Amino acid sequence: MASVELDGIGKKFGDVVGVATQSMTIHDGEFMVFLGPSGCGKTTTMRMIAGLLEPSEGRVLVDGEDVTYDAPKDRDIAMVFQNYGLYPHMSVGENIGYPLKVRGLSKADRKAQIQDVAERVELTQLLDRRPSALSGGQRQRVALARAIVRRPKVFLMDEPLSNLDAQLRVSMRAEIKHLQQEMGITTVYVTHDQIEALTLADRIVIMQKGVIQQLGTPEEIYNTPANLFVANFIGSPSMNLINGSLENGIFTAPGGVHVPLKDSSQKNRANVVLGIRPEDMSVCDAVGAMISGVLYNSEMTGDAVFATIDVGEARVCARGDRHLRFQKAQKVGFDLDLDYVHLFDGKSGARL
Amino acid sequence: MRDSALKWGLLAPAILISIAMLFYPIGRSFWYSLHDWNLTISPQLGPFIGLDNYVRLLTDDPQFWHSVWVSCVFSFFSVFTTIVVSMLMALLLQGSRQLEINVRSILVLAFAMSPALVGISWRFLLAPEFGAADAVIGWIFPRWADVPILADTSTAMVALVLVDVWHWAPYFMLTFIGALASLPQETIEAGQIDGAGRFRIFFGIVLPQLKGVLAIAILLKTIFSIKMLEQVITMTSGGPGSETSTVPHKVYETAFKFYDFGYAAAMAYFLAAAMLVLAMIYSRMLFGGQK
Ligand SMILES: Nc1ncnc2c1ncn2[C@@H]1O[C@H](COP(=O)(O)OP(=O)(O)OP(=O)(O)O)[C@@H](O)[C@H]1O
Ligand SMILES: [Mg+2]
Repeated sequence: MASVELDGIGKKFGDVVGVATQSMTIHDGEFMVFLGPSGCGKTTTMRMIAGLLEPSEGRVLVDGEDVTYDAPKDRDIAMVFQNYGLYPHMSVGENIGYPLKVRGLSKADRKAQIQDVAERVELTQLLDRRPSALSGGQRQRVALARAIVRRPKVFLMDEPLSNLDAQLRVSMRAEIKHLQQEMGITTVYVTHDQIEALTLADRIVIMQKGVIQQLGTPEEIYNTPANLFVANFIGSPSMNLINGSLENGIFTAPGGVHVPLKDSSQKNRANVVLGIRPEDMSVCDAVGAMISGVLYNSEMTGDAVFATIDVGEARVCARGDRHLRFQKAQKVGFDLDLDYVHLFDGKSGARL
Repeated sequence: MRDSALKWGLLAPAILISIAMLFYPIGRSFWYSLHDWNLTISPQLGPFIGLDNYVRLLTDDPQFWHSVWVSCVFSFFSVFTTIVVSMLMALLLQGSRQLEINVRSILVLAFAMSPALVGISWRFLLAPEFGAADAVIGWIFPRWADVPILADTSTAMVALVLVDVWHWAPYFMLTFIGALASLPQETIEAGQIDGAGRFRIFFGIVLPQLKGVLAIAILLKTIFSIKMLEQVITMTSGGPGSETSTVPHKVYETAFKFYDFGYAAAMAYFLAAAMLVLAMIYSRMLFGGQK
């Protein structure tokens, strides 16, 4: 158990910036998720924590101790690789026991501990097999077992579930969360799947192009996105964003959008983006609605109906009752739940 | 019917060439090995003597058995040293920096040279009177300053082995670099994370994964070492005495120095039998066994 601190850390590959200078603290026992689109620097950051990559600047501290230039083996950190990284020439049992063997544990001790973890991840029947004779999910569990067998200070996982099918992903997700909570090991988890991030994380770091966009709990990220990138990236379907202007506490946009804000102290601005999630709107009569337009499309997802309308240049989607039915080219109105309206600066994208 | 005619028709040229170039000479030399035929006596094939040549070889020729021993010694040391040296070179030069790539290309030149040329070059380099390498060795190891390296019992075999290593190591280095590059990088990183040091990672994780490549390399090099002839002829002529006379050299001498063709053919067949076994193991490893 340990805390991890990244202090002004950055990585350049020649002229390419992999990760821009940034700092963060991962608390003891915390489940931290790095989330972001492909190429944003998640893996790079994680590899610097592991010691597989030397940062171009800054320091890595584990429990307050500077380990920036320590070899991976001296950091007491375990890692689960995207392609598992199992040793093909060893049996499942030997794979799991390898970290213990390296540490000089006797065969009997190793056996007991291997048995113990194997039970946790339900691998007891497979200990004598080679990794090549396992399914993807089973390999994943071996990698997990090898990582937890020595109870490391920190646990790193780089997209561990990305090679699994959807169903298995859900069950392994629960398994990982359960294991982490039970063992209380500080964990850093990389993914580009927002559902994975939101369900697993104590806190989430959202990155883009090597820069941290927001660091916060899943609730914070979802309910108060720090900028347009985060607002757009999190949520499915994603948040509606409407360009308009703000005057006397009222947001207006082309197409007759007219939203009286709850917080009337906002000063007037010519270039503002209003954000509202589909589930924070209700479908109503077109006459007198805050937003109204011609129906573009409606989708039944089983538990709800998503209606999309054209408003000026924008296309706005709202989640409605599953019994709602629409006609072609019907005029539809949306009312906004004013508690969940987000405003962003049109130029910088920052939250207002 | 037509299909099969077409099949044989297409195969015919290859089969005919094989018969003319491969099976006919092989069969013919086997026929010679059953005769007492010495060119100094007659250009005509001598009398048929059945397996007498083979009996003489196996029971009554200590010189031949000496050459078998020489071949074994040479092969063992040249295989072992070549594999170890080429593996070290591969580990050192596996990266993709410009320097590594350049060094690799230069080293491969040694392999690109014909074996006879290698032998002659080294014979000059090691010549006591004017050889550059001989001078350098004498300078570094004063003990050997006055030793004629290729003519001394204690050094001729060493020189032969080392020149062979010099010749072959780059080739196996390339093989091993390829094998190292195809190794899943994650297993090595997993090893680092799991706490293994450099040596442990090499011997515990890298080497076991190279087992197949290594086995094939060892077998191939054994075959190459056993049939090596050019350097013996050009560097030592089997000397001093017969200290470096390997089996192929013995065959060569018997046939083209003493013109004892029948007996030389029998020797060659003995060698061929050994090679056949190795070649079969080799192809079994390459094409079979992938369960
Ligand atoms: N060895 C390298 N040499 C040069 N550039 C690199 C190297 N490794 C990573 N990069 C660059 O650094 C940036 C961050 O890469 P990184 O692997 O951390 O992305 P990621 O967030 O893990 O993406 P993904 O979700 O696709 O795995 C990318 O632009 C990438 O091209
Ligand atoms: Mg990555």
